[in-house]
Amino acid sequence: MAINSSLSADGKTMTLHVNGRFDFSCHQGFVAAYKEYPKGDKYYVVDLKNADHLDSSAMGMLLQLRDYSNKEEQVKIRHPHDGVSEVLKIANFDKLFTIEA
Amino acid sequence: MSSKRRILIVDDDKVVCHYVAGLLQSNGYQVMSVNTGEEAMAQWRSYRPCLMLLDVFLPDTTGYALTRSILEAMGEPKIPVIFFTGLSDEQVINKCFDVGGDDFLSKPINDNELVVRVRAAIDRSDDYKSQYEQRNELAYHRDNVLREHEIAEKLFSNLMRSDQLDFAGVRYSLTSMSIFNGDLLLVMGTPDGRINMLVGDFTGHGLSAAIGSLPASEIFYAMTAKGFGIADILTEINRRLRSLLPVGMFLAACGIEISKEGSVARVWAGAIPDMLVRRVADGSVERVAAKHVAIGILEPDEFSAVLEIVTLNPGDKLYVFTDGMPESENAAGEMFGFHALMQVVESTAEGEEIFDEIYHQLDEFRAGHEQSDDLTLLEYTCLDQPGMRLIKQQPEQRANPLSSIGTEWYLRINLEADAIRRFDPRPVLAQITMDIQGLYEHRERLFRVFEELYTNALDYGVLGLDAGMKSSPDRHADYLAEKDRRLSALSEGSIVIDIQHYPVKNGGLLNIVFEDSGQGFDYEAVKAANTTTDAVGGLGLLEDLCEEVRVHPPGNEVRVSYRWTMNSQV
Repeated sequence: MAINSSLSADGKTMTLHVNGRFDFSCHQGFVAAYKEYPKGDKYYVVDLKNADHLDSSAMGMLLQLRDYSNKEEQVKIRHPHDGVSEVLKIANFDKLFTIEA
Repeated sequence: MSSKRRILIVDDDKVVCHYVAGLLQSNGYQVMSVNTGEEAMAQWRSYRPCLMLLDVFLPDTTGYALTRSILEAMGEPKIPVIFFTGLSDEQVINKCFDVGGDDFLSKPINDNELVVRVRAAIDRSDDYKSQYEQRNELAYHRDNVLREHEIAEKLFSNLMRSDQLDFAGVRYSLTSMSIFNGDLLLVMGTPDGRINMLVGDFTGHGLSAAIGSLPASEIFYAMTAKGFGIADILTEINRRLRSLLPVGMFLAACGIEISKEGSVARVWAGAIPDMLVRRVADGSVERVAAKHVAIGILEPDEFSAVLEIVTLNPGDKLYVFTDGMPESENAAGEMFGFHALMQVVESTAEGEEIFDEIYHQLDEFRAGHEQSDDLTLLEYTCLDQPGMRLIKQQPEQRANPLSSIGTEWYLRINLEADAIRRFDPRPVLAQITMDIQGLYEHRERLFRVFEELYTNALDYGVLGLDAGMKSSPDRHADYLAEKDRRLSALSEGSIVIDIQHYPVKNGGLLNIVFEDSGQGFDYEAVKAANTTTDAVGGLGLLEDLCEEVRVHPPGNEVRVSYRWTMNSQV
């Protein structure tokens, strides 16, 4: 449930790493991380390599991030696996995000 | 808010009082000293100390009795009390704690120890106080939440019109987790005999989910009553929810429109588990996956209402459920699973009720473990005799007696290709006719008349489809797919609709003309093709419902006369 963030070398993209369960307990940390920059400013990548669970509040957070990010490019979701990628697939989130294996 | 902490000292030894007071004051506390129990009783309420230091033996009472009186009168939250005593008798010590004391110090008093103990006692007391307040706040909020849930339950029970749910072939069950159900299940028939169904799962539970149910169900019922199909309804629900709900909240859903004959299901599904179709022919089970994103996320111009077509034979069954079912857990934390559900649908024998078997297996799996999410299941069975479906009569609106008096009016609608592609005028036409003329009893028949005329003008006229394709059930799906293709590619064409109404003795006459830009069609041939099957009413239906039907060659102009009389029955 911990969130780490890092900025790319060119400063345009922020990557949010989610560790453990991606659920409501992540809410404050997740939002605080992406709101560090103004709305529409950065591109975002969400790294789910170490996330083992995703529920509807996490989907809500992803949608809020999508709303907040720079609209020129879709928010990327990286390395979802097992149950997490299952959930994303059923929700057809590949229509809203760029999902990279 | 750094006011100095107040300490009350009760000791008849004035030297001790003076000394201790001085010591504590130099450590930042405010101190009041009294020498008798009576003085203490008189002072504590107005002084409001955070801590009391008292000697066990007082001239007029004991430290114990005094403590008991004061703490009792004070109520919650209590303050810490530290006793002085020259005696270190076990009995004395026990008594100190019995009456609610927190600590004791032996005389002669050690400076350092006193200050440390006082500080520690006040810290502990602060902790206790904040916990006490938090507990109260929590209880208050919990009571509020319970009350809100009760309100939500009442709201929801008013929402779901159970009088609409009794359709032959439709079976459903909603068992909710909390008082209010985050799941939605709506079923209603259109005036012309189609059935619209919507199974949904809102994000959240309780009142936050209730909020979305209100507009969704209102839109569903109102539009279905007007004859709109599921695509239009879901588009409108998406528009409303997108503007109403905060970003991140959405409705996972499956919307189904069953055709009049009951053999074609048009399906829209977003973010919901696969729908299952059990084929009576070979007992196989197909999965229809959700192709869309949940409702309430996309902007109106991004929302796709593309429907999937599932053809059904009598005896085939459809199953729609929300994620509560496959994600049902037992005590060991294992989930029932989608595949297990599919297994039940597949392996239940002919003649056994799959619906009941699903719940039976779920109950066995959970083995009494508490339900953690709503369980919602809808089953639709394609019936043998579609014509004999029981459709509960919708409560008829009372016709305004004044508007039933025949009046003369005239309406013309001219639709070009763009409009034809995006707009279905049938509900509007029926509605206008009913509103102006108050012909509510004729709703169903009028709807069918407009539908027939429009289908002819659009399908055979403008789109140039082959009526023969509809004659066989398996080609029907191809027909619909081809229609969708031609419609979305339509760039030229028009349909002009004229409606004239004249009063006649005891009623009125509606003259309706549909003219399309197509090549025309062979009316007699179409009539022949349609009367050999039960497909979509056909032109024969127009002849049954209308007083007169005239098709002007080459077939792209159709005129009908519909007569109504006051108080005529359907």
